[in-house]
Amino acid sequence: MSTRDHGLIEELLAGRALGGLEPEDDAALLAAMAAHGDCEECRRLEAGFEETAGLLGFALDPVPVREELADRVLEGARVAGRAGRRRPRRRAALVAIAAALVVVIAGVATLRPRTQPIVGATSAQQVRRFQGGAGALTMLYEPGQPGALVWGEDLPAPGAGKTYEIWMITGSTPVSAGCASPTNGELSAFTDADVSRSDLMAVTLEPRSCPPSPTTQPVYTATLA
Amino acid sequence: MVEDLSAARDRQLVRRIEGGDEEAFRSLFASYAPSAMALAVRVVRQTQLAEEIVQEAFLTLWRSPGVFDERRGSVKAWLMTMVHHRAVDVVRREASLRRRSDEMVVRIREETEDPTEAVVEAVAAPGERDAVRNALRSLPDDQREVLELMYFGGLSQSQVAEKTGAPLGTVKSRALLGMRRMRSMVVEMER
Repeated sequence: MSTRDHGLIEELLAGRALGGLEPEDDAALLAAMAAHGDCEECRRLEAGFEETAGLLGFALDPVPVREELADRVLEGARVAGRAGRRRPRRRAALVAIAAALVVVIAGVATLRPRTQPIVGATSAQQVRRFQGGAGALTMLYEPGQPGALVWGEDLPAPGAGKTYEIWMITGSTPVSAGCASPTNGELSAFTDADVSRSDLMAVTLEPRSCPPSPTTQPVYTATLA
Repeated sequence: MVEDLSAARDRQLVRRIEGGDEEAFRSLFASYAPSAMALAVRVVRQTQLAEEIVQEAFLTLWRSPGVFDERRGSVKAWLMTMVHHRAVDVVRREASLRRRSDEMVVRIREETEDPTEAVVEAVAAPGERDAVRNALRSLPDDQREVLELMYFGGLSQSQVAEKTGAPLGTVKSRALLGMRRMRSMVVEMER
């Protein structure tokens, strides 16, 4: 058992398990967890609250589900070569990314325009939605493989002289995955980094110089672990 | 013992899904899709959207069963957590849904003296469902209200504070205390 104070982490983990954290609290949790590093007590608290929250849903009366829904899931996965079926809006976004390559990249070389379609990707690919600010920000990656596609819709403009910077957080040190700015609210960018080695991803608003360390609190976060 | 066997069966089914076993997938779907649907409908309040959310969660199960880590908890809680995260995500992103949800929560609070009753009163299934229901009922009213509004209503802690008139710090404390008690009653029961 660690002698560190877990009071704040426990409170934030309880709120997150219930789905009620504000972005700033989510960021505070990320920072606190990162500061604790490899923390067995943190993992125990997190797993306990996540399990509790998951079981809360069983308080509700079951709602009948159409029998063909399971077939639709399997059929959708088959059609896409087990890459899975996307909701229409997201599929449209993927196609748009692949076809139009609407990419605006600023700063470091680790972020670059996506040049290969991702539709029909391998079954191992994971999709993670970022939580936090306005619009929708999503990441596609394959665990154990370098490279991740980040795309967004309806994103706020970062403001004059500002850009979004994407961070990979493992342990206590955030590592920049590069900077990118949306055009008309849309963003797509590809990073060479192996994001699956990270526990968390975060996006901050930074100067266009794309600093090596974050200077602001995250506006979007996504948990990978 | 029944719970242990059920959890072990679920883990075995996930391992079979890793090998592409559709029957194993259908078995887990039959077991948990109705509860997943109930949760999604409760949070997003729209059947079609709820179906999409349930499909996405089970698609993740089919495509990436290896993501499940049995050291962190049960298959059923993992599935429900996926559904809940997606449902809350949808609610937060869709302003119209947000307004509808708020209105519904307000209406529930106005129409029921105890908001949790709206969730648990009609529960008739035995075993686990009763246990979760009883655990919720045993919470102090203020803690139960916070859990209800956040988890089933999809509200953030700040929104709960605004809605209940309680200070944000109080809402956070109630959420923590309520979750601690639920953990001790529900999760320990599973072991």
